[in-house]
Amino acid sequence: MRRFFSACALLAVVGSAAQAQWQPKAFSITTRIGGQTSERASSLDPSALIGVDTEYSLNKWFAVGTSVDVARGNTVREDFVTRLRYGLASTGGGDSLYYQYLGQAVDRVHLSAFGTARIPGKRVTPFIMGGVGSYFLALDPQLNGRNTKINELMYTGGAGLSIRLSEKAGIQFDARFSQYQNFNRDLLNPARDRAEQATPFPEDFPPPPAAKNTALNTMFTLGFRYVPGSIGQN
Amino acid sequence: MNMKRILLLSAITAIGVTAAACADERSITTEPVGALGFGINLAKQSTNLPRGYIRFPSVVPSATPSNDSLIVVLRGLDTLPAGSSYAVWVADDSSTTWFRATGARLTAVRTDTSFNAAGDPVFTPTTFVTTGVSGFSNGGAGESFRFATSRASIANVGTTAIGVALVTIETSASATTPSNNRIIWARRSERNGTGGGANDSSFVRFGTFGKSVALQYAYSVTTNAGAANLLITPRGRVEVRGPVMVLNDSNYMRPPAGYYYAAYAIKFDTLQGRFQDTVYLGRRTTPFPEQISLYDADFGQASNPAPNIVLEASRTILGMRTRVSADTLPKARGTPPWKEFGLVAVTLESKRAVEGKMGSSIIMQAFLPKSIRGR
Repeated sequence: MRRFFSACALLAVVGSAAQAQWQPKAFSITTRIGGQTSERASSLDPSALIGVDTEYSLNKWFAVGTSVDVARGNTVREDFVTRLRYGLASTGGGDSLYYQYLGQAVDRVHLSAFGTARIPGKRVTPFIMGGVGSYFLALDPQLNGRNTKINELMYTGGAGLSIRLSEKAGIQFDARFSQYQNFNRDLLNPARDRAEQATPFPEDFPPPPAAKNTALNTMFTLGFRYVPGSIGQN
Repeated sequence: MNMKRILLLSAITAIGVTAAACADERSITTEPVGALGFGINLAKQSTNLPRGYIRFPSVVPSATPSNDSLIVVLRGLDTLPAGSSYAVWVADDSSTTWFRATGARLTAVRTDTSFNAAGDPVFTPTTFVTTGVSGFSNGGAGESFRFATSRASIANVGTTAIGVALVTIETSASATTPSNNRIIWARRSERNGTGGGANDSSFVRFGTFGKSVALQYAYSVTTNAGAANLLITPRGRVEVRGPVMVLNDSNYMRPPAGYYYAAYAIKFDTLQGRFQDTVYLGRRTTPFPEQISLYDADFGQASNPAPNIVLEASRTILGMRTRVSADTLPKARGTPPWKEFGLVAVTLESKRAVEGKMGSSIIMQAFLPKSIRGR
């Protein structure tokens, strides 16, 4: 991470000043780092993420690009209560049950194509963006006893500020929303389809909010923008 | 703000956001929570349900007294509070007119159980005989009753071809028509004997009487062995987790009119092998989350408390639940919380009996393990 920041700083230092970064037909690359939180009904814990945006400026105000975000988070384990059972209830002495919250790690990848509209400023440029793509959730097959992957449609949108540090470098703060479509919370439960999820003590294990087939994520990221090549020559 | 400061601030912000999103327990995906649970299946008992037989007098009046006797022998009755009593009625097979059996000789036998020095149970029967009886209110697990009268003692029955004998719960000692609590009956048409004289007897049905076989609701039938055969097999489970005890069970028949299901825990001294106390766990409810009281789920109620759980057509209750915490029971505040509680029972209770005093009819029961009762 230290190298990353050093490289960004170096880029900023070596970049020539005074020219705007929003030349038409110019590419830019923005590496982003930050965190994301998902709506409670999704049973996804907040997680850190890294991402890369590749953007092509159509003109001074508009651009199109692609975005890749990668995160490895956790599920909200309190939402998945299960029991470990020892013994038989039908025999003398019955059985013993250990109650456990059962969480697991989730690899999350967002791929999207987006468009950007901005109001270029001398130093600070606000922008809004929106796009469509897909999200990919991958769970540990060994833990789940089977391959568990979700790959579905995703909408994304957001707004932010770009701050020019030099002609070729800048930083960017943005807040983005992504909405997973056809989301299935049950797939996050390693013990799904097993009777041991049923507990006779529902008062002691309050259920999570009702499951939805969409999941809204909120991402806050800090990006380091770099405009490769000669400005306006791409 | 110069570039260095911006970069520094940006780096600190990025690290802060990332650190906040990365919790240090992230690698731990499972987490044991709360107390260990202990589960035991409830097993069908159906012990001490009302049962017995009725011997009918001959169809037409007979000069032979032994052929003209009405004898009702019953066990498994609950003790009724003051003002209520069991009464016996007879009618023809169509239940056209009811005649109350009076002037009976009641022989009650109470069997007490004690333990001798070797620890073996010793059964001591005590017999009480009363004459001129038209009803009785005693009951209990160890009591049997023989109510004997004759056609001649039944006012106005005359030459009626007695086809049905009925036992009801009455709140008036001088009632001239049977109440709606028509809980035990026998029909000559369903008799077990060969017909006539001493063999003209039938084991009783317990439930809610109907004017015809099609309309009657039999909850249990006395078998040839003299036991009450519950006409369904409920199933269920008790689970204790710390101070909380939960009973989840299913597949019950609706209680006969005037009855309800309750749950009791039974405390006993496992070292001495003696029962100490019964603790009322309450009326049963529908399953979580509704938990509607099933006190009025008995057959024949004008309104059904939970139509999706108490089924009219099949006359069954799909599921029941009881949840209780030892914190709310003074007799269960030990260490562990359910110390010395050895049994949990689902009982069938009469609404006429005192609530909270365990009746004799145990439908389901679970024997709690040492891990719960503490010894």
